[in-house]
Amino acid sequence: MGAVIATGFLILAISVWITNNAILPFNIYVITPSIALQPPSFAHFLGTDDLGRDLFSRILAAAPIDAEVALSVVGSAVVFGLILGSVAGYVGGLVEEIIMRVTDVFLAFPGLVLALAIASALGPSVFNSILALTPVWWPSYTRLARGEALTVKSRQFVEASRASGQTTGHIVFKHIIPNILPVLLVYATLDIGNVILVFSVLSFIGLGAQPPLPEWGLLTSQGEQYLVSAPWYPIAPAVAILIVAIGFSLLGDGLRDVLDPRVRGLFS
Amino acid sequence: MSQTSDPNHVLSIEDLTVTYRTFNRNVIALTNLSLNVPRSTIIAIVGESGCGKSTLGLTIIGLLQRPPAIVGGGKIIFDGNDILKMSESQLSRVRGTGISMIFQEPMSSLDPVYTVGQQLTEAIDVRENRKSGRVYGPFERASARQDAPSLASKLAGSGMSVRRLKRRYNAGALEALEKVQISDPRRVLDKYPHELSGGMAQRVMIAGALLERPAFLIADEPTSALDVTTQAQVLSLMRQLRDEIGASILFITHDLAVAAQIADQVIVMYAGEIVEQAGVKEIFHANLHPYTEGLLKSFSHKYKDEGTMEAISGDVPNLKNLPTGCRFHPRCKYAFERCVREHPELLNVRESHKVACHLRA
Amino acid sequence: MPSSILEVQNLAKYYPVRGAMVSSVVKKEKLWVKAVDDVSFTLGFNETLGLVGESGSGKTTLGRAVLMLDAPTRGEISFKGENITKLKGEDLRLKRREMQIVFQDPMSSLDPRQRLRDIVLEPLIAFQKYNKNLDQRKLLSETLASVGLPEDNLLRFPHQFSGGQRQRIAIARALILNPQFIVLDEPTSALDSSIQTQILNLLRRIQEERKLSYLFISHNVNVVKYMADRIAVMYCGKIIEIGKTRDVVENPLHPYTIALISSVPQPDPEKSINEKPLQGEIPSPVNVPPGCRFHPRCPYAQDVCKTTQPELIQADSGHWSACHFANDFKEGKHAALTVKQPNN
Repeated sequence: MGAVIATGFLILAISVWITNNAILPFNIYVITPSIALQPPSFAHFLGTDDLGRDLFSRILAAAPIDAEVALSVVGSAVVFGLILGSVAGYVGGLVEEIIMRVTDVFLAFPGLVLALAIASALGPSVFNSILALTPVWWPSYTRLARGEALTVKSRQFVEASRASGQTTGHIVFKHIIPNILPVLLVYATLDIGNVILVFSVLSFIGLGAQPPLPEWGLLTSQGEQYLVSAPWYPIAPAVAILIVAIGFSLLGDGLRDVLDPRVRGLFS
Repeated sequence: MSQTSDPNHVLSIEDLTVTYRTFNRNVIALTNLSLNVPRSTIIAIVGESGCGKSTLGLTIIGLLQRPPAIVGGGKIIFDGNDILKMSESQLSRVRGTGISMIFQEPMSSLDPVYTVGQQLTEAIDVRENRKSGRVYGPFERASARQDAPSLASKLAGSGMSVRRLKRRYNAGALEALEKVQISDPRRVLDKYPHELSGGMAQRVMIAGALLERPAFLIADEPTSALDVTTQAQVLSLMRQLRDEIGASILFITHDLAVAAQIADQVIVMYAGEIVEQAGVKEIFHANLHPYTEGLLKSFSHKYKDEGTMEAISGDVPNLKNLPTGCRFHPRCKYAFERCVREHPELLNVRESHKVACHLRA
Repeated sequence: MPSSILEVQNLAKYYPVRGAMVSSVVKKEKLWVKAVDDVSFTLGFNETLGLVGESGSGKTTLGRAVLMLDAPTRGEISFKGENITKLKGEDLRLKRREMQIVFQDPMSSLDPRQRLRDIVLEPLIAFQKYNKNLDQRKLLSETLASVGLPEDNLLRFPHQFSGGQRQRIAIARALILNPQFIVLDEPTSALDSSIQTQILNLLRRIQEERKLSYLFISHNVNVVKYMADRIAVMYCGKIIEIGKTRDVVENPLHPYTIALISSVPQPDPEKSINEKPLQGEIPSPVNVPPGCRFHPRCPYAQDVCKTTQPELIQADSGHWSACHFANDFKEGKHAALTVKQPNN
């Protein structure tokens, strides 16, 4: 189920991005005040916003933007975290101390505050949001990777590798990292929803995507004032966030099974 | 059937079949297994992994998870009733004083948050409550009670409860620990399970079993995780159980040598079936099934300079894909044409010696 | 040319006790787990030394220390005449080609994500730059053939093999670098009995073919009987008896060995074991008894045993025992020793 939603979302995002919004039913930028705030109808599935733009098209158009942010942030967090955490966990000693203390410093900041601080320093834009969010995310992956690396390190096949004369580098990249990657990936899928949410908050306050760019958080914030008079306006994009977040989280569950070669065997 | 209420048998199993349902195929754990357990007897069930011995033990005491296990048919008669047809509450009444079980890892069977004394006292309470007809409910907390000591125990001087750190234990708990030869039993009463060594923990389990006085005890590899010196002591305690309270013990093990030490009767299992069943002397000196013969050779170790031991060829059977005819035939050096075609029955070939092999039919 | 492939002298491996900071500050001494304490022995070429002991004896720690998998706290290890205790880094790594290990549980000693082919070839990759002209494929075939594994499963994962096959894979991995010395740490304890015999026979055959030396660690005396030329018995971190297999098993000269051998069950109901071989429990490795470590449990303990630690003395030709009264055991005079009453 999760796989369906997640894949659907990604396909949507890619198609919208590739075609540069051409496949959307309506143009998302043209302002038509005469049809502003219309409730959902056959023509406009989710109604129109305060400037007469089709809400459904705007929501779909936001997909590539949210996808880009979510995947970049989580992707780089996984890569950084994986490498730093594995090295810290396996090598130990001073190297581990240094890496983990730096990580702790970053973790000490409340995530949102840190993101806000960086975002406002850099200036509001989508790209800057990615830069602002990544440092918030990678510390927890580093922690997670290090913990997992410690567990894997104590497993006998790692010792067997060492006994065969393998170098540390080889062991980290060929044994430690492949064995902790699944855990990190599962965690990452659960996290994608979180990134979208935080990015939405950034946009909500005006530090992320800038109008007239459509973005779910931004749309929700723009529609907030119409909650009573035109509820479809803020609710629809919020529900979109919800669906995607749940979809990825379900995907994460399924992914864990697929990645374990032992469980994979059950299906053969 | 007269067999089912034979007073000489504490337990009767008839035609038991158990399968496990997995994703794609069914694993046949036990096939048409029949077995009678006489009173005050230690029966060793010997077999390798996948033979079904653990499944058998769990099914008897009703701890089998169903699903994924499915009982395809058969009866297990204990005290006149069929265990397979009992509800969970009926089963919990049978467990403990009727049928008891001890496992390979004693640590996992002891509750880590209660002391040894508390858990043994609970065992006593269960037994006492059952004698008086009271059913021990799931939420009743066992409280350490002062039982009126019997004349014998008063004479022995154990009429007082042991008091330490404001915990009062039943005097019977102390006695039980003494019986299983735990040194310094008073201190052990106050210990938590994780503070015990493997051997001690297993002896505490046996003490608990002694207290509950079950009619039938299932011991699933009780000594496999112990050092050989500790194992020796535990084996003598099991015999004590049989002699003192007349319990019958189903001793499940993969180790034929241990079976030789402890058993009155030995049952050899392979791929979910009994392939040979006889008194302990016959199994070792006059066995009839090729698997028993091969297995015995795996345990008869020579010195390095005395030549090689003969090994059974092949691997333990794949329960999802059993061979046709006799399940052992692919590994059997005596196999002939009939073995591939026809599944051998378990037949009485001599007095109290059954074997399932075409060679002997 | 050295006379032995391995010579271990006064080897000790101590682990610091964690969380004992307060008591160590108070008592002004650090607490150590003395897993291996002052162990010495030699291993000849093409010879198997069996290392027998129960839990807490230190046999596994010794096996690993000998390979420098855990640097020893004290002592010296000479491999083929060369002192390897001081080796580090690349020098040590290169030495590993000649000494390998097979672990007890093949399920955990193989990476579940690696295919058979990669598991067995992996050691070669570690030394690729030294062996550029090696025909890896051919070596793989030969090694798999010597452990009796067919080549049609090269791409399979460990969980797709049976226990016995997995252990063959582990053995193949240990063999591919062509070592001369292998530590076998309970290599068959996790296997079914019928498979155990197959693997033990395989190990013997390989030893014959390649003239290997084995350090065979096991808690199972019967298995060690079948595999070893000599046996060393460990108790609480020390070797308390060592000698030719037959001598130690049939004529033990240490009370612990006597108790151990007498409690080993034989597959014959007429041969019953001693059911009360030992009193008490194995002492905590942090708090080792003074004098002879075995004295609290020894039925023959005398006063000297409580104060003086016995050294290994040669009580018979090639047969050493760390007991003050080893000679009495040899001459059957031990009954004359005051037998201690079992106490609590």
